[in-house]
Amino acid sequence: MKRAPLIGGAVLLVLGTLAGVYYMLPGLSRSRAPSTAELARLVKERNLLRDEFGALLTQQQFLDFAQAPAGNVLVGVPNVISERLVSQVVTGLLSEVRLHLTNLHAHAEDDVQANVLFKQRTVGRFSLDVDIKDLRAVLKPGDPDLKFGQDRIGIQLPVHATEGRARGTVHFRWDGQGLAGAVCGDVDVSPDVSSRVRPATYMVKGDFLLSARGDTVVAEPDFPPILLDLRLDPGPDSWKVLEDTLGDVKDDKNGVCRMAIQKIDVQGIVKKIIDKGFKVKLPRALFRPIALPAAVEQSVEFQGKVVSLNARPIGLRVTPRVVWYGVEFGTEVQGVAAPR
Amino acid sequence: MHRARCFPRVSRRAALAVTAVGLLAMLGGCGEDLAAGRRRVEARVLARQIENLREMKTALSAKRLVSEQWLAIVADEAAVRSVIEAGLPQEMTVGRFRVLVHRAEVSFSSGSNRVRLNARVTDTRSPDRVADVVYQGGLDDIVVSGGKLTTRVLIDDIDVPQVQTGGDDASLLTMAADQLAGQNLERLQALIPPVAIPVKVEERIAVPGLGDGPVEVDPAEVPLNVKVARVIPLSGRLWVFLDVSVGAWRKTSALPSPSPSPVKKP
Repeated sequence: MKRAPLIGGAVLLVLGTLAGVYYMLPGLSRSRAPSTAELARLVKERNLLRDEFGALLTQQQFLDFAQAPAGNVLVGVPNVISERLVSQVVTGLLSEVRLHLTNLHAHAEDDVQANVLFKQRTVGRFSLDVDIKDLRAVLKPGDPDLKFGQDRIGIQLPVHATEGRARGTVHFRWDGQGLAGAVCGDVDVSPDVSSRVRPATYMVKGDFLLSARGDTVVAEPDFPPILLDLRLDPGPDSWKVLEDTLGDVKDDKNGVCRMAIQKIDVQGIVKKIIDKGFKVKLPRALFRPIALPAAVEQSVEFQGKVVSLNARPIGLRVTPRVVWYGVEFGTEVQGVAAPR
Repeated sequence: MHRARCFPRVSRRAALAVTAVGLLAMLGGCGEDLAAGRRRVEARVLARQIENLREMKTALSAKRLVSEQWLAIVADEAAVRSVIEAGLPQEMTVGRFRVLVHRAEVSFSSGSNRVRLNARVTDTRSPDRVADVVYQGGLDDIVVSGGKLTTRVLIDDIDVPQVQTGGDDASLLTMAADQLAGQNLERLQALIPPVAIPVKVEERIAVPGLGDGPVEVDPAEVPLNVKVARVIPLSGRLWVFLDVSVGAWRKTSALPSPSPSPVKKP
């Protein structure tokens, strides 16, 4: 019975000695506690370095450290990133635009007069319809030119309409009147024709306005309507088809009739009406608002529970190099518990 | 039969003397005084600050501290404290002790971040024995994952500033709490929820398509590669700089949205 305390004491003695050695030997344990004087020296060194660093920051006007607004959580998006994003989205969009127009229609009609029996008479009326059943073209953007000013990013870039083709019919109708009508009767032909879309370059110019929307900043597009004026350029084959069709009509008719129809410069009329072009307005929805890539969240999630941070947006601050936005927190975050 | 004795018979007084010496040796080895512990923690923090300041000063002089092209996320001490505290209180039982982490303090200064987590340790066998424990540490590396900026609090030391007991010896509970924390830092570490800075970073810009009209655009996206480039705790704020590289436009398979008819007759 009396031996047990002795053994226990001996064990404690050994353990205590080992513990003492462990704590005293440098490298074996936590480092030696510094003296108060050593701490003071470290604080002095830290403060000196901090002052020097602060002076350097001021001297170099380091980024926007000084211009960042007050707020608990901020996001600063450099103009370089905003510009790169806007540029990439706009050029990407415009490189993907495919135009597919159907059932375009252009029309011309007129009376044809001829000298019949020593008198100018209306010998007939022609009606010419160009029906484009299908027109396809693609857009290719050129290099954008961007300008950042205040809260807007201006962008201007050329867009080339290329690789366009159209197919359709030229519907020619002749309604002979008087003598010509009696002799020629009516004519109604619709040869199929095709055409390439004349390559053209359009200048797209607009702005993206930066504004705070909820917890992020959005670049809102502000573009005037973009109107494309597509012109057709029928090749020799198409003109030949038209000419041959009308030639057949002419060959079928008598002299008076041939004279009347020959007075109609069908090719010229077709050229004239298709040269007015086909206007295509790019929808405003083509350019959508671009959210800048960082948003301040007003809540956080812990273990499946959403905790509101009671945050209030502080709006936008635009400096020459950075767009700042962020939030301020309210009084108390829900979910914070007092010690029990 | 008589059993042989392994040890000579000793007196009760001698046994008690050896036990007392052993206990003293134990306390002398393990029970480093609190002031020394605090000085050691303070020295470690100062050393970290000095090292960070030197590095930042050198980088700033060489104009490579921060690139003008980096996106900045700034969270002040109150914000980080709020998000840590939003996940509190957290409680766990370690042996006979109940640990309740209930409050956080955060400081960002001179290139160094510090997090202090206040906890209350209660002896479950004697609930009136309570010690307030402060876990000291800092934020780990910040990473961008799934559009979130996350980190965690790394505890590297503890402090036991206050003990309340029901008249018992305070130093024993202090030592117990100290040992409890020391031996269970990893378990206690897991008690602290990850810290999510309340900022959502997009990893792509989605561009919806247009269809059903004369102007067709396939849906696409611009991928963004975001990585943390530098973290600077400074003047009460944590500055997290992100290197955002804008990728090439690429098509996606989402359905396009309808567009209005824009065609005019000539």
